[in-house]
Amino acid sequence: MIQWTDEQRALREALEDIGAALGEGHSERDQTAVFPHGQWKMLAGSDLFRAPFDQRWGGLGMDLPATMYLLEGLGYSCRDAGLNFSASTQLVSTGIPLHRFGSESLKARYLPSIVNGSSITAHAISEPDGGSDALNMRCTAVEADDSYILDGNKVFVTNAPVADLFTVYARTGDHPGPGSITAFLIERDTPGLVLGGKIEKMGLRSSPFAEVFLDRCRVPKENVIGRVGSGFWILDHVMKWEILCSFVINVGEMRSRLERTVAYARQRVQAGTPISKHQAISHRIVDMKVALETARMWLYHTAELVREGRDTTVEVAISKLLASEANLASALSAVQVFGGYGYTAEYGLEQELRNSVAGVIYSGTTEIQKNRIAAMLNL
Amino acid sequence: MSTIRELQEHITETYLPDVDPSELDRELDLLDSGVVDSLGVLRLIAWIDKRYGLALGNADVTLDDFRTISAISDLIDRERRPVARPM
Ligand SMILES: Cc1cc2nc3c(=O)[nH]c(=O)nc-3n(C[C@H](O)[C@H](O)[C@H](O)COP(=O)(O)OP(=O)(O)OC[C@H]3O[C@@H](n4cnc5c(N)ncnc54)[C@H](O)[C@@H]3O)c2cc1C
Repeated sequence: MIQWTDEQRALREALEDIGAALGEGHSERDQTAVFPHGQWKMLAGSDLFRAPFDQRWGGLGMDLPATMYLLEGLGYSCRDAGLNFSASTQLVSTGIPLHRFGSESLKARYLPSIVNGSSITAHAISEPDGGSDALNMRCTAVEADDSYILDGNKVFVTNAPVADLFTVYARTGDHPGPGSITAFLIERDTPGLVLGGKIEKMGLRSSPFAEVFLDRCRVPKENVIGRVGSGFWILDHVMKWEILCSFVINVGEMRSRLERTVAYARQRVQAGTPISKHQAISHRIVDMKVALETARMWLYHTAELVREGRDTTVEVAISKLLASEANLASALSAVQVFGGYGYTAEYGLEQELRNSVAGVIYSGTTEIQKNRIAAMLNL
Repeated sequence: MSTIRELQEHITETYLPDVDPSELDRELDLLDSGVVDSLGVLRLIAWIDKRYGLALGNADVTLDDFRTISAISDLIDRERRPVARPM
């Protein structure tokens, strides 16, 4: 297992210390579906958004596993899973591709405000006609003098209603293959970038998402991230970060849920015995523990391989599959152990169950992860 | 066996089972012709990691490095050379 440094431990402790305040009011926000701007400022004041970026942009220069270690602490201590999800989107959607692939001038212009959290970021990949088959996107970007003109619709764009900066993926080539997609960094006020209305959703309700319409949206060529036609390459890198960062948050959430479930099962007495003494209950809780530890090991193991630059297509897919399904199963088990109380809004477990469903859909559904593993097995 | 020949064999075996390896043009655009799709690129990366022990994740690699057999061969030669490169 990775040994964390004293500095990394201190950063995580500091984040966990504000976790309760970050999560305060999460039940009300779940009902009203309001983005917590106050808590966002508090989070920006911690060092979380700085973690993986170079010091010259205001970052802390931490590697992927260490960044995940902080995020796990956020998941453990903050009960607002929507805020946690928006925070992971902030880290990976624009900052990570810009940092790795962007030109120096683009980084100088945008990275400092992303790193200090004063600019909120989003990425627009999915379209109404295709999320799983995202590379077959319809949104086009056509060269025009010193710009590209973007036309198309994007859906389910997390953070969009509150975002200042968008990374939008669009088709620049006629061929259907992987070399025809390009990533663009677009400011919110750019003419032709129009946001759809608020979309009600099942869970993660304090993390808003929206449609993004691109209607003859002119984007200067210098706002291309990386090279023209390298969008697939960039997206592959971003998806690795997105999966590892957002699901390690779930690992933290699962640990918090496990602790609450153990405590409840030990004190809830039925027919003169704590329910934890019923093997049916204790085994269910053991399954929660095994799933949590398996997901954690896979996520950090994969992150170390990513850090070393190894091929990780299968490992990322397995990690995503395990962690998202583990979180869903753990939330369902917690509701069951709490019985009728688990079904009430008061304990927050029904909310956690609704939140956990998102994980088996975003960043590539369970079915798509299995397809990927099958393809890598040459099936 | 030369890297080009190994690549011709691997690509025909994996993506074009009906083609004779020696007939596969080393300059054919594998991406635009649809021989290698996005998952195919990831499978190539996995094969290169396994076959040559090359970790391409931190390398200065672009999609163009996977466009033709010649380009992939150049990439492998380049990454095999022990040069110091900023990460
Ligand atoms: C909470 C949340 C946040 C999101 N945030 C973002 C964001 O920030 N940016 C963004 O661009 N997108 C975002 N998405 C969109 C998300 O990536 C897509 O919803 C997802 O990729 C699935 O695409 P889809 O909804 O079009 O479903 P579809 O692709 O239509 O899939 C529908 C069903 O068919 C199955 N299916 C599809 N193709 C296959 C296949 N080949 N083999 C087997 N089964 C298949 C799927 O697994 C699924 O069960 C978000 C989604 C959610 C739920």
